[in-house]
Amino acid sequence: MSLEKTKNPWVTLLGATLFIAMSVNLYLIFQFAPTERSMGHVQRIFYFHVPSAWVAFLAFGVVFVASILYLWKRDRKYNMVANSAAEIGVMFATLVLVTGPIWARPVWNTWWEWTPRLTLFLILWFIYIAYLMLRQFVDNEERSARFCAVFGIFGFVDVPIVYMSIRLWRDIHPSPVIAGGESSGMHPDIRVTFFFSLFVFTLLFIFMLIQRLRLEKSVVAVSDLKKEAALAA
Amino acid sequence: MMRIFYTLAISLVLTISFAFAQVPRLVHYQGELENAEGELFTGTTDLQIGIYKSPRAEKPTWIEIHTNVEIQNGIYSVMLGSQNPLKLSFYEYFLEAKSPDFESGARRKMIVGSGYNYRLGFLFSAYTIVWVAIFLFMLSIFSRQKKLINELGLIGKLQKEKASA
Repeated sequence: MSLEKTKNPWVTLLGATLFIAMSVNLYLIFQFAPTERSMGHVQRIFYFHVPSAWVAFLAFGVVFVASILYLWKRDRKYNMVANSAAEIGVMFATLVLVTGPIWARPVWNTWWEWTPRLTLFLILWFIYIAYLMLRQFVDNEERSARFCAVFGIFGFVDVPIVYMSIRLWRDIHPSPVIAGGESSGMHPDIRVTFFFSLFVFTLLFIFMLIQRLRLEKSVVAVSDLKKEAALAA
Repeated sequence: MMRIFYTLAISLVLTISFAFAQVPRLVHYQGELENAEGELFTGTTDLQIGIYKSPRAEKPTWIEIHTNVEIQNGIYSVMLGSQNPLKLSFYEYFLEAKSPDFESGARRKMIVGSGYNYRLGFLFSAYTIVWVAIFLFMLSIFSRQKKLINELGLIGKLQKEKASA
């Protein structure tokens, strides 16, 4: 395995597309989308709070699939994908936990409530923090990959529970706005902005995953070289 | 890649600034014009509204003049920021209204951020946190990558030295 120094034109193109999409997204969030009647401007947090949660779920989904593939094929590349996705997922889950209370304070008049959705999401965050810690604590690479793969599969169980929690239990958290029944729905301009934000954050996730994976490959390459050097000595 | 990343980050910051500059910053203010004896003014006059950082500050942070303001029993109503754009990042400031037609008591009154500004502050904080976190995460990836490349160069150099020895 060698360090990737060569520039991939597709990644550069993705970066450029991402930049344009992010700029358009900014325009949509702050200029195009109407101000929500009851919450005012603070409702605009919705355009990066929900996509952050979506990216966190997506990342944990990638961890889940890569973990299954690792246990099945025993190929270290799946372990690298799982590790990279978990790190990105934790970052976005942290953003959800930070932006949520910032929105809640002026709207609910409280930073935090121990409701099913919020509590389960906090548990999800702890699960993946533990996942990253597990990687650090087990020295043997093969054993660490195996333990983390099992952890990654079981940890994902919390994701559908978090998603379904506002449908299953009474919660202070806003009801689902997509596929949430007759009373749900969005203003057309809000819908455009929201789905565009989801698209931009998904692109951002892909871009970050590529960069993080590149780093992971470099870490493994350097580690292999060090091992080879130690054996030669 | 680093150069592209920095260009992207700077452009994003500029775009955010542009977006926030577009948000209208008008604050509706209703005040009372009275003199030192507590007498209230009635009539039409020009009002000079100044905002100060403290009750005793000499220089105003912001100032604007409203012409032909109708005042009934001392009560006036103005839209701050309509004559001179409000570019203050504040929650608590002191406002003073002066009229050339009336010797006012010139007592400064504390004004607090309206719900509008207050909520905008929450939005701005959340948005800044999101993009700073993403920026720092990407920066950490690139800096770790750079460190590894340096480490790789060092290992290669050591291997070469060993081979030549």
